[in-house]
Amino acid sequence: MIAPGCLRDKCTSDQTFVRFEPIYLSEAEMRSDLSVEAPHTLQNTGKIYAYGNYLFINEQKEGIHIIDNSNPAEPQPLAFWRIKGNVDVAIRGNILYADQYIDLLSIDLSAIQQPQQVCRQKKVFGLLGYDVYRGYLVDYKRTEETMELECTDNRVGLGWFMEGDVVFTSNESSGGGASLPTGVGGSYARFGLVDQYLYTLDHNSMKTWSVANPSCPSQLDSVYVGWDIETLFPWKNRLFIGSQTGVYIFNNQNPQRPVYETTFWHATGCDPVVCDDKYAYVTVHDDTPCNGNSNVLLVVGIEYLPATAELAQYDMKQPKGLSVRGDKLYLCDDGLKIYDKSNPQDMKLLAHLKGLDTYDVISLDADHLILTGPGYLAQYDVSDPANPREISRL
Amino acid sequence: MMLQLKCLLVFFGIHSFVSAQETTLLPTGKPVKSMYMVSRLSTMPGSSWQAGGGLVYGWGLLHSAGYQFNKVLGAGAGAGFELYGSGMPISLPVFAEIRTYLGKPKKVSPFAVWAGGWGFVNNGSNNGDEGEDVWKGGWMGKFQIGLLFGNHFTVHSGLSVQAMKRQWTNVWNQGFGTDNLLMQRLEFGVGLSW
Repeated sequence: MIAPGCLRDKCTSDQTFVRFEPIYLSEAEMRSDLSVEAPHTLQNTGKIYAYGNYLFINEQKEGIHIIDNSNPAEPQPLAFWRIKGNVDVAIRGNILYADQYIDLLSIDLSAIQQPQQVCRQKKVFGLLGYDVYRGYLVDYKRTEETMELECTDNRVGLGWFMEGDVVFTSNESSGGGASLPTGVGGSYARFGLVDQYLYTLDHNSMKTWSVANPSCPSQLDSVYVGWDIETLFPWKNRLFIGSQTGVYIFNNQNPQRPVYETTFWHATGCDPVVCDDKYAYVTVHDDTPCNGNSNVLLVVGIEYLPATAELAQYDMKQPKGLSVRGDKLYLCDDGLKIYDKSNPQDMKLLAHLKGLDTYDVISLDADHLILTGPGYLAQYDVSDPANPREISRL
Repeated sequence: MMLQLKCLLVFFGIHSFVSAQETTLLPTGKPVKSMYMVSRLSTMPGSSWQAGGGLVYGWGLLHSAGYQFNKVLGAGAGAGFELYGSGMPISLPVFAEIRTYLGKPKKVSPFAVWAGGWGFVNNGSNNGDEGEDVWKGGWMGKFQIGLLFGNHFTVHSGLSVQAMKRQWTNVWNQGFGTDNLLMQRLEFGVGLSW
């Protein structure tokens, strides 16, 4: 019995992790003013806001592409506004509200070629963390790293682990990590405007702002929602907040002080949400930042709030952004899918455009769709929903 | 030519067998210089690579055939089945071997075998909720010493190594990786030679 103990099977494991190295900035480093530059190529496109004849396309943490979309068949890049740290935008009147790391900026669009930063509300958003010596944790630099580990190493097979302040997560099989959230008044937005009120999300709270003085909003309220909140969709007198584990529903009949009403819980995953009068449509998908392993479209009854009920569930490949208009539902999943949702519990697939890496979709009107994905923006004519036709691509 | 072969065998430290007569009979009564076939069943104990490193037993059933040119040099090829422990895939080793008889044949004749080849592995196995494993084979090698008895019965012991790869996925966190395994085992067994 001793002799076999002298011989031991060997095992090493080659495992690829995604390494997230924290990036810290001081307050001074975060506060660069708006600068106008010549148009840039779309790269890591973020959220999109359509306003009038213009499209405002966020370049993740870098700034905003300004596009003249007077002719959707030939959108014209006008400029790139460098706003380091920007992720979200919302527009009311001639004022664009944009976050910059921890600050909220107001930018006057009256002369779109010469925007003026008219206000800066300081330290209004929470970031990922703060270190007294290094400053604010603003982002993580992402690289892939393959390690050779002993098979008995505790790190083998882990979904994630930390070494110091560096986070390692198991490698994605989807390859979809390059795509970044987009959403113009769309399903990934974290800013929402309702009348004279602006609602903003950071990592765990929702803030209410009055924009009665449009050039410099004033904060009215801040309410803790949950640690994993992601998206905000205002609908009538309610605010639907998507999180990784459910949809929080706030009643904003008193728009100055939204009140928590109920939560619809679902499987863990990223979850944009949109609504119509009776139903909420929630996509739940797996991805590195969201965990989970569920890929479904949920239809939730919201007619009798605060009571909610899951009415239907549709299996999907990896559903992301979605948009509803009339009896149509537009969904980013394995390309673009267009459904007839006349009967939400038995939706009919009208068209499926494959071969597109899509992240979010925005229905501008019944005939006009904006589709976004990594580094591109495409516009579609959907007047014939069974045969969507691409009319331009940036 | 014979002188060169003798020099070679002296170099490898087995000079005491060089003078053997090729017409010598094995304990089974069969001439040394002849075709041979051997089947053997082995157990392969060792310490598991898994956490805790407990004692595990593998099993193997191999068959080989070849030609014994003289007492010191026989060459053949073989194949069989091996299992290195529960949860492991069955491997199908295909190998070449060299066989030597040690000392003068008596009622019992000692022998040694060197074998090397490739262990093929059946392709997939389900790792339960954690996902699908894909196993791939690798090189293998064996050294055995044993005794041949007059009734064709053999006993042997030795060392056995087998390389394998396991490509795993984890459905819960989308993780994946490749484990490079080298099974290192003692080997004890019995067989039949004719």
